[in-house]
Amino acid sequence: MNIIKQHKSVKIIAGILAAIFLSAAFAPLITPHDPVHINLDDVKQPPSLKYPFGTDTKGRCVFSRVVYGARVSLLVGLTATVCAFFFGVFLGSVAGYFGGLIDKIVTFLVDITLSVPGLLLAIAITVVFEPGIVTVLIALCTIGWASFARLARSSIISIKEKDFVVSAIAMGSSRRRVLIRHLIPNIIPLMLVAATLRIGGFILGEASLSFLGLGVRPPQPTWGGMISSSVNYIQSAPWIAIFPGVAIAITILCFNLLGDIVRDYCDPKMK
Amino acid sequence: MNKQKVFVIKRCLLAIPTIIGVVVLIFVLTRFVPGDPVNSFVGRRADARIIEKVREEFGLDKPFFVQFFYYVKSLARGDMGYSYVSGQPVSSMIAKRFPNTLKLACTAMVLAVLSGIAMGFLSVLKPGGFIDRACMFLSVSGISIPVFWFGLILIIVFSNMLGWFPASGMGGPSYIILPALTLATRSSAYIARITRSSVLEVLGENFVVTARAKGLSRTKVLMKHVLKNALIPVVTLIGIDLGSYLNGSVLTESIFGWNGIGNLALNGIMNRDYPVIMGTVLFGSVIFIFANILVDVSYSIFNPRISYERK
Repeated sequence: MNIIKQHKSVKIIAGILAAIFLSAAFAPLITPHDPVHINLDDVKQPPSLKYPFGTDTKGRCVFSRVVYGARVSLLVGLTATVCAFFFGVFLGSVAGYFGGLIDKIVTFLVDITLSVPGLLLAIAITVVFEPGIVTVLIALCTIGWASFARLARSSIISIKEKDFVVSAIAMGSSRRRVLIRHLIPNIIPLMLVAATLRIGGFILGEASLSFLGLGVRPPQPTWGGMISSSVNYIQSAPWIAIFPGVAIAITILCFNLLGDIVRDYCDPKMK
Repeated sequence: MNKQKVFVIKRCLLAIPTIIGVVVLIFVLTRFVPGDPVNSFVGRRADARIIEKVREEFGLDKPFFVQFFYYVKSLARGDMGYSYVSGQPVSSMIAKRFPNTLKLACTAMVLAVLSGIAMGFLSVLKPGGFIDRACMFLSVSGISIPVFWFGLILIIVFSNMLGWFPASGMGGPSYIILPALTLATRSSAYIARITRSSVLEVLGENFVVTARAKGLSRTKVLMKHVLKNALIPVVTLIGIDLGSYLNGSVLTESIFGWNGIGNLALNGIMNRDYPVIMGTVLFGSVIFIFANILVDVSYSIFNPRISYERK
């Protein structure tokens, strides 16, 4: 494949991401301790052989918690991306193709969503509903679908007058068929590039909500939640804050670098 | 009236439906707030008659649309309700803290613009070279690193280990450095990327080639001809990025004990103080909308070539 030849770093990035995914999937096999087991004899231990990343204020193994935390971050980040992608592409395409009232409504909703600072809107949503993974997903989708919809709408508009569409209609295809079989498949590659670029943002969103105490409930470990609980102990036990943050940073960095490479490869002009 | 004035007025009018939409959104969300708002006002054990009276007084027995009308009417008077915790009006709580957030955000913005443009220009001096790669890696990192974690790392390094700056609180200029740096990172990273790609684009244009052909040095062309043109997209970006300052201040201010809107929102979240949360969200959104108008207007001043017609 050309993309691998052109960018040697793809191998490294893919390797790191694979390692993160595998360790999240096989977390019970590689973690030395139970991530939620409270052990008040070993409180705030610095990193050692027994506890590679040290222990937190309740004596829980930070390494095990970071590995288990990857599960929530990846699950929420990827699911939110997929949901926002689905809604965005669907609504954006329908609006772009059919135009008229439905276009006006969708465009208006997009404008509103994009004119509210994302995290604030996510806070307003998560704070009124039952805290948990579903609420976080709803919040992230609500703030995330709009940019997909805007891109899908404008791409559909730019191709809907092209010859292959006209000929499909001339052949007797219904409008629905034209949209589903001819138009949407054409914008999917571009939309996938946009989605790759956004995964990191969704993971960051989940981490920020968890940090604010609006994410998945404790004792389930999340990276954002771990950092939030470490704030008062950064002087006496900085490792509690450092390791989950490194995990977030590396994961998001890999997704962002991957997104950049995919974009450069697919369309060098789309910067 | 000239075209530009028409544009400004049009742009302001266009913001009205958006603001109404945001208000509706916030209002609908407050209807989902768990628990009865009356209980939190008079206490759970209050007499049924008192509850009924308060309900009437606040119009909570009226239909949804009437309630919405009341809500808009009180908003128009600048009344955003009262904090469940302190009992103070939310609007005055916000007004008291907004200058602090503004101070922090402006400092951060200056830092972000200066460092971002500098990084973007440095990387263009030799595209593909070591400096370019280093700057671009820094900028991807800036986008990837969580703001709140970066703030903690800055505290660990510059406050706990080196002792250069105070870890938290407000006071002299030394207090603002770390939170402003934290808040600036993300924006600086974006600005660096945009500056780089827009300078590269301008460098390829004919007037630059002509300037070089006239015998002007590369630096002179960069400073005189390219900078002005390349900064146009950067100005737009600063506007789009205002949201990141509002988002970021929620995450940054709590870490540094900075007494601004973000901290107010976070305290509201922790106490489930819904009027405060919704008030700050609404306030932040409206600020964001107005800031974007300002940016659009300044954009039209910076770049007279753009058409004033919005598609």
